[in-house]
Amino acid sequence: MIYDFNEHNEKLSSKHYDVCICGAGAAGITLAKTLEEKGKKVVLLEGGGREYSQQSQDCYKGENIGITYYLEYFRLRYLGGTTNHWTGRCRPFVKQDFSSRIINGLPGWPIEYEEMARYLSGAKKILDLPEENTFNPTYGTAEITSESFVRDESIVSEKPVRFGAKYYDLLSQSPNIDLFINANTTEIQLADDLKTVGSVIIKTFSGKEDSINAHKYILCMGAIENARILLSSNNQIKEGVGNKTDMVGRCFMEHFNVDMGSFIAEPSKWGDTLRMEYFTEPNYSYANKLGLANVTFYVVTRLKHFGRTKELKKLFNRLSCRLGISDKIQFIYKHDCLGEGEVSSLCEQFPYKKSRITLSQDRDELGVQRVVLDWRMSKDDEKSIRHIAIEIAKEFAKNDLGRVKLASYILDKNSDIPTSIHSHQMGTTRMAANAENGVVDVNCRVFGTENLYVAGSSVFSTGGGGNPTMPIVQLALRLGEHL
Amino acid sequence: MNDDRRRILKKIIFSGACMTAPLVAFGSPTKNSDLFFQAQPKINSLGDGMYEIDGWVIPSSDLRLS
Repeated sequence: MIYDFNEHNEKLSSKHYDVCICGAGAAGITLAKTLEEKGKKVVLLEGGGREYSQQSQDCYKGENIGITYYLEYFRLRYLGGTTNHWTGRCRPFVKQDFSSRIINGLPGWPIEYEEMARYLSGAKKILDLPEENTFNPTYGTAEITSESFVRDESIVSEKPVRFGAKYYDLLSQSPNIDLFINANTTEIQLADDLKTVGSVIIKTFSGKEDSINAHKYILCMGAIENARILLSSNNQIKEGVGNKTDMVGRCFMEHFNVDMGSFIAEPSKWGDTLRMEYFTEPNYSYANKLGLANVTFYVVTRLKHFGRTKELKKLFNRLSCRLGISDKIQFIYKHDCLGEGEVSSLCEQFPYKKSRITLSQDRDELGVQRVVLDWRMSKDDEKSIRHIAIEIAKEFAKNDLGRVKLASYILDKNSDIPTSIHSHQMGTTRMAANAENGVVDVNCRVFGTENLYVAGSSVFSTGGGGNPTMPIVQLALRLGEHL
Repeated sequence: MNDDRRRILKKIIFSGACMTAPLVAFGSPTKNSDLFFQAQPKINSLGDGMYEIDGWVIPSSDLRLS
């Protein structure tokens, strides 16, 4: 059944559920569905409503002190969560993601690849993905033959699943699921032993408050919010819940979106190709201590002319491209030359303790402390990105597809590498074999607690080189089976 | 792509016998080609017979000494 907590008059603290799930996005809804099928009585709490609202979204605002990030824009805070605007692109983890290498002093996944792989088929069904991969990473005839890069094998849904819409009927008709929208989880309350969660507090923006009681609790609020609620539940334990070893919020990961450079194409080989996507060969990456990465070559097919001076710009453009000095006059205005292209990337970020989420003294409208994000790139990340960029440029030339001009920061080891965002937040409550290296154990239970679990990309020990939604669903299925 | 640009991909001319102090151009400087290095750029070997000049990653087959 679906209820709007704003309009619900029954006192919820008198009820008792088997499982309380905080957050109704990909992980939360997958878990609710899985547990419902096992006959569990589930309460699913969603802070937002059925539709987007600015008031709800504003709870995501925070302070940014590291690499530029836009905390309130890339996530969505209403039923279905960020799946309301995802692109439907998926890539499963590969075996090498679960290898036992230590980077930045941190171990990788404490579980075997097979633990994840066995839920792949189930995740595909939930995400309406084809069983067979139909994604074509190359639009045209050009091709790189290489031992260090392989064609990207992402899986793309023709119609990305919006969890709130797709599973609305299931949620509204299930006798075993009580979904409350506009029910904002604001605090985790521990029992006297300080190990067992006794309840969670929920609030509305109008000030209504209640508590939810269950045998088990699962946080599915997203990689940033999962850490935030653990840290901000600090009335009973100063450092927050599950944070004795100061690991909650650490190892925030994204995929680095780095412009690696530009290229000129060799027409006889490039042909009519518009785009090529390659992926670092996993064994090559592992052997060279690299992150996994997707590298995309795409041609720039349009000249960009705007404004009253467009004729002058056209002239500049034509001359600068002919003289080969286009890059030298980019400071006058941004333009591209026909027959040229750019090399972009999605690069794995290694777990790094200094890349982290902490709390601000500022609070949102519900009284919950806002986050401070300090997103950082480690030296190993820089090394990995530079290696990948140089290697793909070499392969491009070896295959005589053209020549790449690498960005200056790729070649200058003293430069910072500018990066933007892929909207893949991961790793703030990472899975580990012990509390010294993570926040949750192999079963996603928060270290130091008896009945508190976490689902979603915050538990990723490493981020891999693919889009995170499918592994989020795989892990949710695995946790659902465990519970 | 124009013909000048195509030639760029095939030839880089070095002025000087030593690769550490070259005058480098893509294509022929006399034909006013697109990428002509009038300065003396640093040349880095990237291994596998590949070089980097002013950011461009090129194979040794692109190189000419003049």
